[in-house]
This record gives sequence, C-alpha cells and structure tokens, in this order.
Amino acid sequence: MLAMHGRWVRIYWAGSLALVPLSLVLALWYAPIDETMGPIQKIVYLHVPAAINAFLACAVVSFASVAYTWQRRPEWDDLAHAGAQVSVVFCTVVLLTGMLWGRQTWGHWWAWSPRLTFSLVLLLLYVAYLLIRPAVHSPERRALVCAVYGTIAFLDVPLVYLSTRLLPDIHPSEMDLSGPMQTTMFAWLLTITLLAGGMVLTRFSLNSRARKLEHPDEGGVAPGPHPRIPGARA
Amino acid sequence: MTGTAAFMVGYGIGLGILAGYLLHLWRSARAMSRRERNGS
Repeated sequence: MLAMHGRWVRIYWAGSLALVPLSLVLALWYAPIDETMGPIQKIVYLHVPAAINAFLACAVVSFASVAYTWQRRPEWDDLAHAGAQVSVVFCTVVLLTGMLWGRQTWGHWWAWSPRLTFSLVLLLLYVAYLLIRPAVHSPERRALVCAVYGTIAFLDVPLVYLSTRLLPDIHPSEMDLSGPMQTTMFAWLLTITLLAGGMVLTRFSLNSRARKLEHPDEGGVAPGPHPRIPGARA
Repeated sequence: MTGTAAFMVGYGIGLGILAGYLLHLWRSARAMSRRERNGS
C-alpha cells in the first residue's frame, strides 16, 4: 500500500490497519467503564497514544533537522517534513479528543491551563513549519531554515510533558490503569505507533521521490551551498 | 451529550482524521507513481 513497495510493506499496513478494529473492540467491550469518570474515560485509549506519537513525530523532526544541519543531505529534510506533517495530524487528534473529554469531565471545552496551552502552541508551531516551507523558494535555503526552526520547535515538547508535573494544572498528570484497562491501552499504543511509523515512512518516501523527479541530475546528493542561477556567471 | 456519545464522537473524529490522512497519502502515492511512469 501507499508509496513504499514490496510484500513486507503491504503486510505491515495490513497488520497495522487490522489492529484498529481489534483495538476498538477492546475499548468498547473489554475495558470496563471507569467508576469515577464514566464512559468518557475510554477516550484516553486514543488520546494518550496519539499524544505519545505526536511527541515521537516532533522528535523525528528535531533529529532530522539536526542531522540536516550537520550533513546537508536532502534526505534529512524529507524526513523532517514527513515528521512535521504527522505531528500536526496527531496533535489535532490529541486536542480534539482532549476537548471532548474536558467538556464531560470539567464542564467546559477548553481551559488555558499550562498543559493545554503548551499543546496548542505545539500544534501551531508545526502548522507554522508546514506554512514556512512553500514560502522559501530555494530548496537549500528552505531546508536550512526549516532545520533551524524544527530544532527549536522541539523545545515545546518537554514543556508539554513537564507542565502538569511542575505547574498547577487542571489536566491529570498521570493515570493509574490496571488489568483490562492496561491491556487496552497497550493495544492502542501499539496500533497508533504502527500507524504513525507507517505514515512517517510513507510521507518520507513520497518526499524523496518527488525531489528526485524535480531534480533528477542531483541523484539524491545534496547540491552545493550556492544554487546555480540560470543566466548567471559561474 | 452523554459520556458514551462523547467518547464515540471522539473516536469517530480521531480515527476519521487518521483515515483522512491515510487516504491523502494513498492518493499522493498513486499520483507519484503516475508521474514516475510519465517521467515528469
């Protein structure tokens, strides 16, 4: 399926997608209803793994950005771009499922608490990353600008994680799950992580293939620091 | 909205976003394969 070829890739996607209905069955019927929060507690099986994978996607952007700054190979820029797209997808899922949970638990959709505010900032930072890319025309300059931005943007991730531990916050800092609830959480964590990994690798593959189509002469090797301008003297 | 309805709406929205992005990737991959076949 998707951009990557080969039997193993198809098996990977078939297995990952098959886990979704299995995890749904676990969340709907296997995991018991929480005594204090009621049925809305079940949304954490999607909310928490989505948050973890949003963080992982941000880490991919940061790692690839540092690697690009070091080596100037365009493949790292392709990977950072892929990670940024996936982080925006998962940050959106986290915020929307969190808002539904907050409406049921706190009585309102949103609170400007540290955890929620830093999470919103995280989404906006990576949306901005995706908006910056088409604004810079030179591929080398775009990759460098995004690498610097992607490295700095990651600083918000520890702020999101530590906010509930270091600051007074309405958001719960940790959740005590056991038995069927813990099993369901692990199932969803596996499912969402496999999906997120597949998304990043597929987007990365598409980015690389698009770049090689647009610049077939470069063959995947980073161009020099000064791009050739048609008509200009060498 | 009851708790059950809220969590089902949450799963619908969350999985809907993920499915939408997967569909976008799949369509992009098909378009890329066509471009590669045409060599442009």
